Amino acid sequence: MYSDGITDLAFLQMCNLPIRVICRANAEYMSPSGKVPFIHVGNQVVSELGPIVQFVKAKGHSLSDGLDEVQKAEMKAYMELVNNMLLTAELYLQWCDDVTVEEITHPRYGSPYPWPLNRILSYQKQWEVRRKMKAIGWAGKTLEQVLEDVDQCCQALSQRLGTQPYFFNKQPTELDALVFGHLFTILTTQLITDELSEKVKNYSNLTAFCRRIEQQYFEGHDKDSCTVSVQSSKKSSLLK
Amino acid sequence: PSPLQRSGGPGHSDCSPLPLPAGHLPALRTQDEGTISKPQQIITHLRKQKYNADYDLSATQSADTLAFVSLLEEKLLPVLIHTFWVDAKNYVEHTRKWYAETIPFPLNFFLPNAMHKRHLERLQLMWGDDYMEDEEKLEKELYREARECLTLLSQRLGSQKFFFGDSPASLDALVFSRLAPLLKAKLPNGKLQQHLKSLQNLCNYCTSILSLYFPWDRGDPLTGAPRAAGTDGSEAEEDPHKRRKQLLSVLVGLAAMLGYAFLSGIVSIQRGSVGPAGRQPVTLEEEEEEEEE
Repeated sequence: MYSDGITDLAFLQMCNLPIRVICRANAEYMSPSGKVPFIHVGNQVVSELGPIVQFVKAKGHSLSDGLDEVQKAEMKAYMELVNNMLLTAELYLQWCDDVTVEEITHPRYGSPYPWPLNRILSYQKQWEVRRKMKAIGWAGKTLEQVLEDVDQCCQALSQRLGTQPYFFNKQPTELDALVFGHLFTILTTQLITDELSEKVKNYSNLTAFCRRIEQQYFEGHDKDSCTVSVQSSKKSSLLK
Repeated sequence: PSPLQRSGGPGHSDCSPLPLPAGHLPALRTQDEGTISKPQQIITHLRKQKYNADYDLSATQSADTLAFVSLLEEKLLPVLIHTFWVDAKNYVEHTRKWYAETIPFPLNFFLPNAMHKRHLERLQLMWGDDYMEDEEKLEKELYREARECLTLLSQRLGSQKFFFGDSPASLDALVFSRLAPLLKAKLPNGKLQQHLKSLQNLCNYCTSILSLYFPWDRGDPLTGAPRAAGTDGSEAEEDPHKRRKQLLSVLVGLAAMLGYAFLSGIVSIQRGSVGPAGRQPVTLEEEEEEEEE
């Protein structure tokens, strides 16, 4: 699942920045923090959503300027909620659910490499993720408990969104990009069971939200992406 | 104890950590489910017992609660743990001392250290070695995010009495429980604390909750010895307890040594003539010495 890639893509699209998406197998190693996705602007490389948002803001583009202090606080809190629940649930499903790990994750993660490297790297990543899960107390959770957490999170997002087009009414913000990234990934990624996507589908305003953003910002773009490279062709003010 | 206070549930402040699920504090002892230690589980348990502080919240407010809880637990809590338990100066001069004084003998000898190790391990797993080894990076990024979290809480609270109006909810209990120790503790290394003190509405918030729900803690419960009412009496009162503990630990040590001596045969009580029998313990000792060499 590459929810982070879609999030960043959505965010950059919302900022109206011209971008080109490139898929690279060694993306994790190219990234300065070891995490994907990352953007490559001129000779600068920035990874992860937080720093990307800061970077883009420093160049004069921001989605959350129109919010007041209370709304900004709420936006940050909801972003944390999504990271805490949805991202961790995705990681759990990918790396801690034995069936999914064997049939989907190992083959997919190791696909660019020859045997035995593919298995070694894959197991290494799995060990890393499981250690982290243990640290945050998720290692002891069952799949049912994880799905319940996802449901709780979706319920909160659905209640917050209500009937508005975006989380903070008329304009999209980083939160919209983040939520879209995760929900879209959950809804479109093929897994062993449909339970995860069913949880999201229970909330009709969330699926409508995803569809709306997809139509508005992603018509005709390639969605499977690992890295994003920002082009300087259109006199964009990014390179200062 | 604050969620208990909040929901009007039955409870009293109990400083005794026995028995503990593997050394976890705080812990709630229940009749049916044994001892629970995670705050969220404690709140769920109270709800099942029909003590609910969130009954009057709207759907959006409940959603906001979940979001702010995530923010607190992700951005603030790890840094708080670092401030109290991992930062060398704070841990040695404040945290360890306070726990050692509060926890009854003999747990106070090893429980604080065990908690310190556990917290350190957890942070290492969460943050990776990069942050644990690079103080500057830790300060720049993680402490900055914690300070930002405090500012966000302050902005969200505004000039209200509680986060959702005039009556407290579970979010207030959680925020208070995280902020109050930071506000009241006398930390030698207090950068995060200073930032909190600069947010006036949060300070007032903590103080008012303290006076509303913890009126028996007249003195600062989190700084001096909790048994004493004032700081003057505390030192005089502490001495006999300290002496008694020292005496007890010496006696326990002596008893252990004597017991070992008897059991391993280094020392034995002989009855009868001193001559040949008396030689036995001596030979045993020599044998022991030879073995050791």
